[in-house]
Formats: sequence, structure tokens, C-alpha cells
Amino acid sequence: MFRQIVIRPEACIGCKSCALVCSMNRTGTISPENAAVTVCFLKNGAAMPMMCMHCEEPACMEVCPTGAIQRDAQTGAVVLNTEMCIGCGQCALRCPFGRIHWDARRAVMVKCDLCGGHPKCADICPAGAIDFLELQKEMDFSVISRIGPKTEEVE
Amino acid sequence: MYGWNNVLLRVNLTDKTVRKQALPHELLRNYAGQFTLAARCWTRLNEAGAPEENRIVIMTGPMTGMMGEGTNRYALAYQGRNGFCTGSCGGRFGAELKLAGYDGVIVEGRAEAPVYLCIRDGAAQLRDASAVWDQNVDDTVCTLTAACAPGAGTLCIGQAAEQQCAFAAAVGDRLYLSPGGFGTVMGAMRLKGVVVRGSGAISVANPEEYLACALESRRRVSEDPFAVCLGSNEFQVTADVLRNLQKRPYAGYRHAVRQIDWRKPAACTTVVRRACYSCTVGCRKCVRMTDDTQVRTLETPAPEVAEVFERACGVTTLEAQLDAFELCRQYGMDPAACSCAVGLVMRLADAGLLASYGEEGITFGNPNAMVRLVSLIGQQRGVGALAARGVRVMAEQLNAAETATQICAAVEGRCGIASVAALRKGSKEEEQQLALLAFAQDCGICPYTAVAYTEYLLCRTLRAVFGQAPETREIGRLGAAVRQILENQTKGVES
Repeated sequence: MFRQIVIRPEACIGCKSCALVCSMNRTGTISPENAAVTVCFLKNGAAMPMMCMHCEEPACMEVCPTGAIQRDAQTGAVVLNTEMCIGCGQCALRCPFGRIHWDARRAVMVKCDLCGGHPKCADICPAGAIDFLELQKEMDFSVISRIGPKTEEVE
Repeated sequence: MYGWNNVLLRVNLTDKTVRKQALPHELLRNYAGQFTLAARCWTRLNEAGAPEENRIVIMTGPMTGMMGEGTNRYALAYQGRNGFCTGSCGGRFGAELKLAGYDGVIVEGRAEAPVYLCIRDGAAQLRDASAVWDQNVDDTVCTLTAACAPGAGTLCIGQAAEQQCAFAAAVGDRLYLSPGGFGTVMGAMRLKGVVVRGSGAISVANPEEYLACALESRRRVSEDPFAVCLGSNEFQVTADVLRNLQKRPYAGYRHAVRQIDWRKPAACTTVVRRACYSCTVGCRKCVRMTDDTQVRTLETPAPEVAEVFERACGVTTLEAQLDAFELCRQYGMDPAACSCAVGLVMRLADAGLLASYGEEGITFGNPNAMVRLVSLIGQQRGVGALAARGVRVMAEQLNAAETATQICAAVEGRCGIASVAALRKGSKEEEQQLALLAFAQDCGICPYTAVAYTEYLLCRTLRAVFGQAPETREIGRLGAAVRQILENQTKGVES
């Protein structure tokens, strides 16, 4: 079974470490805006990381006109082949999490690829808000019940 | 130049102009940090003949906005009641400013009507703020970020600063209070806030080496018992940490223990940690209190000021203290100075000197009276209008210098961790530690996480960022110079 990213919004402290290490890893610069993972801040000051969830049936993969988005057979990640990508932005429009975006500086679409099976964001998160786990049936996925007390409305 | 944008934003509120100014390389050379740069900019403006009042300087450090541990601080320079003051503030405002392409902002002059400064990457403009004037900090932040940029870094003032409270503070990102008096200057300039959102990038000379250094600093802080304790939700201090603290010369750390050692409030149901940009400690907590009648969400204060209300006002009830801090945050007031003012009012009321104000039920140590007084100071109503003028003015008017001195002595050293005046002189080893701490702060690192940096690691990090760095043996000298600047300049901070 593939390991998957599991987000625990209630644990996030909003330090942006995930976005920083992601941008450093991808671009060699510190630019959280161009990372594949973003930290969203809520009106009450709470924060939570948002990233590609590598869906079971990826809408981005379906809509891509050039077939640049494919599932990696080894890691199970939905990855973007930048050489085949024409930058049409269809994937960004279809992503239910809004986690694919256009990096104007480097002229590429930015999407999480699980760092080749070893996601740096899960390694660096100091609060345990991002985990990389093998999923089991008995795990509690009632995110809404856990995040409920923390959130009101996204800014 | 790596690490810097070489751009200053100059804003004049009087003639409503916003322009960019190059930050000369010569200023950035010699490893100038946030405090040193802010002081130099201030001096240069003075030499150019610009008036000192109605001017603020916000300056980032060479490592602000990067990914090492705690690299989020920015310096604030302003003309306090007693002269030039500097202080620093955390959150994500500094990082956003750096990512927006600016190293600092200098705002001068006085606007005719309330304005706020909206910076979105390269574009900066002054906008009308009359809609948020007379609103508290939370409401202001919500309105301004919605109008300017979601998720932006903010630095804004509350009602206290608008009404020229002597110890009004600006509030960075809803939580982090600037030194007292900074908000007063912003209020006088009619600058309600600065909102900044940056989507740029910071380049470093050697990315791989820098990443290794950043991860090393994070590893070190995760192994530091004090930092771990500061970030825990348990509100308890272990004996291990207390022993560890005895070895540290920095007064702020010892005061911080008090906050960690708060017993967990009985009514508290959820504790959520809050961290500044690139900080893994997360020393601030959001506490959700549930009692019979209502559910309230309260933010805990900065560690170094956690006990001020207890010391100055004799109130031990935790709920009342949290309420008082929440009011300080919402109105934008320095908690240390505010607690002194409240304590003095309570003492004077006990002595029967405040009968003419018609306030009843104010006695020293009364939690309800304390919360009511903080609220009155924020709104400047009744006796609050007198207290908002500061302890010194109140003591002079009512001839109570002795009581005022006693109360100020009780909270002494808790007026912001950047206040190097709170440091005590110590042995040679302690002096070295302090020099390192001062140098790290000058670079833009939070003092609480500065324990993650040894001289070697700091130099290695600077070398990875700039391609060159001072020798480790030079850190002592540089740090001592920074301390000298801070010691000379923080004397003006109103307490």
C-alpha cells in the first residue's frame, strides 16, 4: 500500500516551515509563495497547511490536455511532467484544494510530487501537522470534527 | 546582494507620496543588522534636517524572512517621550516585507485623515482608513487584510494609540506587541496600519549549505529543554529546565518561566499553539475557555510579560490576567506599562486620592477592578484618561512618586525582551553569551530561539547566505557594539 500525506490541521502552529523547505528544495530560494504546500491563515489566527492530496481520481489528471500529469507507479504520487506541460492552467482550475498554481518567475506549474517518495514537509513539520503514513481503515478521518473548534472562516 | 533587496520604502504622509529608495551597499556591508541599520537611517535623516517627531523606521535584519530557526524579527525605531527608541517585534510581517521586495520602511509626516499603507509586492499605496479608525485590533486586521491581501502580514494600532495613550503599542499580526510608545507615534501620524503581502523570493549564495545550516538550527532548538518547555501545552516547568535556566544570563528567560508554569486553567478546553514565521517553538497559545455561560477564546501574552499584572496589581486569578492581556492586545497597549498604570491607580484609590473620579470598588488585588481599569485606559474614560498618560505623569500630578517607583520596580525588566537594559552584567562567559545573543537579534533572530545558534553556526549560516561572514572571534566585538547601541537607545522607552 502507498503511503499518503495526512494533514492534522488542529496541530498546525503556522510557522510555514513546510512551505519554506519546499521552496528551498524546488527553487533553491526562499519563497513560500512558490512552494507546492501553502499555509492558510484563518480569521481567528489559526493556520493549516494545504497541499495536493494525490486524489484517488485526480481531476487534474483527467483534464490535462497533454497527459503531463500522471500517477507515479512507485510512489503513488500524482506527478507533473514539466517538459510536457504547456501551462494552460486547466489543472489549477479543476483542483478541489486549489493547490496547483502557476509560478510566473520560472514559468512552470507548481504541484506537489511527494519529493520522490520522501516528502520534506512531513520531515520538517515541528508540530506533527503533516504526516506521511500508510493509511489504515481504523484511522480517524473526521477532519471536520477535529478542526471544528479551531476554525471559523478562511481569510 | 544576497539576503537583501537593497530597497527602502519612503512614505511621506503629509504630501501623500510613496517612493522607493536604494539602500546603499556601503550601509549593508560590515554585516549591519536590523538595529544598527535602523539607527543609521535615523541618524542620516537627522543629519538631513528632517524633524524627529512623526517618523517611524521599520527595518528587517539580514536573516529576516529566511528559513533558519526564529528568523522573523524586525526592528522598530521611533522617537519616544524620552528620546530615540528601538525595539523589535515578531510574527510574519517582517518576512512578508522582505518577500515583497523591501528591506525597510520609513514613514514620515502626519496625514490629514486616517490612512493605512498597503504594500503588495512592488506596489505600495496609501489608502483611506477612516472606516477602521476607532476599531480594535482584530476588527482592523480583518478589514484591512480583506481589502488589501488575504494572509498578509499586518502591523496596526488600536483605539489606545488613536487617543494618544502614552504607552500605546502597535500590534503585529494580531498577536505580537511592539514596544510601548511606538503605537503612540503611529496614532499621532494618523497611520492606522501597514499591511504587506510578498510573493517574491530571497536568494542565498549557497542554497545547499544554507539548508543544512537551517536544519541544524532547527535540530538544536528541538533538543533544547527550555525551548521545548516554552512550546508545550502543559503549562508546567520541569526541574531540568529550571536548572538549565540558572546558567543563562538573560533575564527574559527567567520571566518566561512564569508563563510556562501557569497551572492549566480549569475552564480551559483547548490550547492551540501559535508560532511566528519560521519558528518551531510556538511560545504563544490560544486558550479556549468554557464556563457555564459562554465560550471565549483568549490569547496568552508574550512569555516575558506573563506575570506583570500579578506583580503590579496583586491579582493572582489567571482568568482575570488573561482578560487584561486580551484587552491590552485589542486596544493596543504595552502590558508592562499598562499594568504599572493600573497598579498605581489601585494603590491611589486605596489611599482615597481618586475619590473625585467617582470610581467605586477599586482596591489593590481586585481582579474585576483590574480588568475594568484596563478597559477604561483603552477607552480613556474616567480615571482611565489619567492613567493613559503614563505612570510618571500620574505620579507627578498626584504626588505619588514613591508608590510609582515601587510598582515600576516590581515589574522592572519585563518591558520587552529586546530591552537589553534588562540584562545584568556577568562573568566573561556570560558576557560572551550576551554578545552572541545581541548579534543574533541584530540579524533578525528571535531571542528565545537564539539558543539554537552557536557562534560557529551563526557564522556558517551568514557565509551560506552572503558568501562571506565575520570570523567567529569577531562576533563578541560585533555583539558588544549592538548591545551598546541598544543600551544607549532603549533608555527612552516609556515604562
